[in-house]
Amino acid sequence: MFIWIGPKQRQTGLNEDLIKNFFRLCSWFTVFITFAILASLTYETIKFFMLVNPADFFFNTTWSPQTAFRADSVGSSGEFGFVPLLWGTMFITLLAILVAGPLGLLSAILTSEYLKPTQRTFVKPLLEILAGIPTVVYGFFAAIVLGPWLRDSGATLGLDVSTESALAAGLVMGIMIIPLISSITDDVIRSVPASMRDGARGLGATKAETILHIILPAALPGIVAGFIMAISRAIGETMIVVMAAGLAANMTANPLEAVTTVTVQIVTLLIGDQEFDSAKTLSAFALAFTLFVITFVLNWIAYRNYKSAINRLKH
Amino acid sequence: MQSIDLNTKLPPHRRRLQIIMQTLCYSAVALTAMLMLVFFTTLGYRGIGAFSQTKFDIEIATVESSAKTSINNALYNLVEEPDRSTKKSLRGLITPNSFSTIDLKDPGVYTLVAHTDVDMYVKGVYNKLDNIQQQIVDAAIESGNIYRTWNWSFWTNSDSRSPEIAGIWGAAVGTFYTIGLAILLAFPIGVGCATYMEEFPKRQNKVFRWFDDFMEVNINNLAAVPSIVYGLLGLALFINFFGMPRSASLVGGLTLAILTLPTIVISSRTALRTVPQSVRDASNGLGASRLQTTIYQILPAAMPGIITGTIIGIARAIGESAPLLMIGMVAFILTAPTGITDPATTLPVQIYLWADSPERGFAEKTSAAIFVLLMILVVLNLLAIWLRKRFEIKW
Amino acid sequence: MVIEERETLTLDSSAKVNIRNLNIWYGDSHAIIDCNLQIRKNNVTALIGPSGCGKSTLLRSINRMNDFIDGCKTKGSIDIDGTDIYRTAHTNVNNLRKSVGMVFQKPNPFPKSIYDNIAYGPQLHRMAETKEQLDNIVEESLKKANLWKEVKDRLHDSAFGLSGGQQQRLCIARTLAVDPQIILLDEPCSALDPISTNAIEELVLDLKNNYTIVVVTHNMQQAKRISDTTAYFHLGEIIEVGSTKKIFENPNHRKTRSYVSGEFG
Repeated sequence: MFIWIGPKQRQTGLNEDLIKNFFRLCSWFTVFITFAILASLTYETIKFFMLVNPADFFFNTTWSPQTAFRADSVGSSGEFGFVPLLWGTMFITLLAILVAGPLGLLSAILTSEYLKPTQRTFVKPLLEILAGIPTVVYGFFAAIVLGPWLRDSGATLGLDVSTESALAAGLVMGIMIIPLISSITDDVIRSVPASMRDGARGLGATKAETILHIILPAALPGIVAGFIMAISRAIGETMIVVMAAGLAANMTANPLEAVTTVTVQIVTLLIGDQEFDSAKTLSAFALAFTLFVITFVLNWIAYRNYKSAINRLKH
Repeated sequence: MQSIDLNTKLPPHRRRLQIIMQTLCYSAVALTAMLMLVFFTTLGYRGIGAFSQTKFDIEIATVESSAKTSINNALYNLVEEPDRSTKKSLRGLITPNSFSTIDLKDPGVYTLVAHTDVDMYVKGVYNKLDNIQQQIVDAAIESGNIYRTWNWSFWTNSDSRSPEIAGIWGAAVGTFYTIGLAILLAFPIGVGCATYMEEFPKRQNKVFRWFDDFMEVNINNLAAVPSIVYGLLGLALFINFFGMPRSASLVGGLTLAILTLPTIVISSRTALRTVPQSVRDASNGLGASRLQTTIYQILPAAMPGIITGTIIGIARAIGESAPLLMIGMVAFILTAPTGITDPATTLPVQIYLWADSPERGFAEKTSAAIFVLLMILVVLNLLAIWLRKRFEIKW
Repeated sequence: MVIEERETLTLDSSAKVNIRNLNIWYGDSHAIIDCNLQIRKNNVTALIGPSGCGKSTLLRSINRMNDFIDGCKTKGSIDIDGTDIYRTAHTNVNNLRKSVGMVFQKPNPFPKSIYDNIAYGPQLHRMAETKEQLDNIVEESLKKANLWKEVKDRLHDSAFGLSGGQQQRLCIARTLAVDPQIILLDEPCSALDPISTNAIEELVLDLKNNYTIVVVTHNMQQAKRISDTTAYFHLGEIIEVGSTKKIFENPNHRKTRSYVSGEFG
């Protein structure tokens, strides 16, 4: 059936302008989403900063949110220092990158340099599977399998490992991030022009030398961009840490201890009964706002660098 | 002139580098593959138990007015002159749910679902049975009155406080409503946005130009926003501002729609770009306007790619749980939702709730539910791959 | 006695298209310089010249396909049947392209069935009220393009299943289906083998009785074979226009002479 769409001339058929406006509206909607996110987060955050001093939030090192117990008490009696949360987030992210970085990078070198095309079509999707696993499943694995296993193994070695160790959450988060790093690195390595490779090989360099001395340095800006994107993803990850990381703020450098992260706190603060305007509930929005800003900045930097890296390589 | 030396081998350090590099790379992939194997086998053996259910056949000699009394009497008959504490032990042999689900007519042998402690004992997970219970159970296993069958309730029941009869049906229906709504909204808007960004001409006006450039950056950023932020948006906008009911798949669907939108836009744009310029030339050359060309030639030609991308988007949305926690879809749902405003939960959230539960009987159910979720995702991805192979236009 | 053909380069009433003082820029590059050309009705006019000299640009200006290119500026006028198609920006370009059809260098059928490829144009311009009328248009167009016999039993198969030469004839049929008066062909045979080329050339000679045809070609022999009038282009300017016979056997201009004799190209 041919439904006629065109300039408004006849009685039957659909008006072209109607359709065009529909498309325009759709695209405006995406801008509206960003606006809505910013508006709702900012609004609640401002309400929070009216109850809690921003300086306290950003620089204090104690996090123990309480809400005022008596209806007439002013402000809150809780401490809302953001620093330990940031620390916990970055610590777990660091552990994740320590896992995903080498594994992702080396896998990418394999798929882009060493594998034949037919082998590539099998191995690449294998790595992509990791990206498709829902985070709640990773969380389950970290909390129910890996956490207790690390604790018990640690006990036999005489180490005191928490069930909710940063190590458990970090390791599993690392596994989740591997495909992000490997697929971006693969893209960037393949964008390195053949002329560079030919130049190196033509001088008698071995494959490994070409990779190490020529290709990786050339691909470095793009690879760094990939790492930044992975970091941003790890920072914003929720389920793995909610299920496997701890609830108490703890600024430690020991991966065997439990730490808590920004995302865990956001979830904990908002699940369950809430008085909607208490400092406790509003702090969740302040945390989310900070999270949004951090990931936004990281993503922006990473995306721009990625694009310019690919462009420079292709010319 | 010296001839070219083709015989000397590479010096050892160069050879070593070759070997090290290759070994490292292959090991990395091997290690990753091994981790995945550990991952899946752990799930497998932990979850396999959930697919069977322990049943207990008991003889109900006299049918009383209340099912509870009849069943309890039947249990007491298993021991001669049971005292109070023995009676209590005997009552703990079957699931409390039996009282409401049994259909008592005449005296005879009825099949009841065994209590989770019995179930776990039979499956060898743990033993919390007291002496009397263990005696009865061992004897019943011998005589064939306690046995394991395929666990239908896992598939047909919703969540329950008793792990032995808990099932994923409620979560499945909730997932259907939530994801269904999400795609219904995200697909048209996503394709519309992608079409606008790809097919509409660059605007001359500086202000509009800026807006269009901003939209480019915006879409890529939205795709990378942490999912929990979308949950908070849903909380602030739909629940607090619009006052929609918490826990309903309506809010979940709307939130996931917004979350999936950037992915659909990006994959649709890629699909639109693969349509070569020659098709546009031909259509324009015949006198079609730009919009006509887009609607009649470009969109249909790009549709296989667009749909494949959407299916991948659906797969991602199905696995989302963080935003749904924020909007409250964590209520304990005993019956499947009948509409999008009923309280509901989705499969990944159900998994989270069961994983969090202290009842050990839920452990196997959690793994089994994860298995089901992963199977759904596998099917979706295979569907996407098949669709692409079958309908992709090779230019 | 052989009557010599008279060269009429003055305003001729049988000029279907009258290009006057046409200048086209791509950004800063002056692609067409002061072009003046008459295209005669029911004639085949060939535009020849070395690559990149603006022949395709000129062709695309006749059906205003250049409008789609950012940064393309056009000055001057192109009169078709006395009306300047560049007069205002409000000219109905869609109707223009219905009446001035174009066939491209590489065959570009739509990813649809043969029937749907042909039917698209008529449906767009609402040329058929009933399915029978549409079927007729499709059949007539395919017959005029000498393709009907080969595809009549597989009208609903994908157009991609046809050979290169058949696809190009399909594209011609597609253009014919919207009932044009002028047909523009941009190097229509450069992607085809000699046998398909021959088929297209015969088709063009058939069509010229009912349509006005302009062909851009690289192939001088082709120009000789099929065209009545030839215009020689060099670096965006028309160096010489005349009857094909004259251009190839006894051109006025030195540059024309060296091109047609193969000294450069």
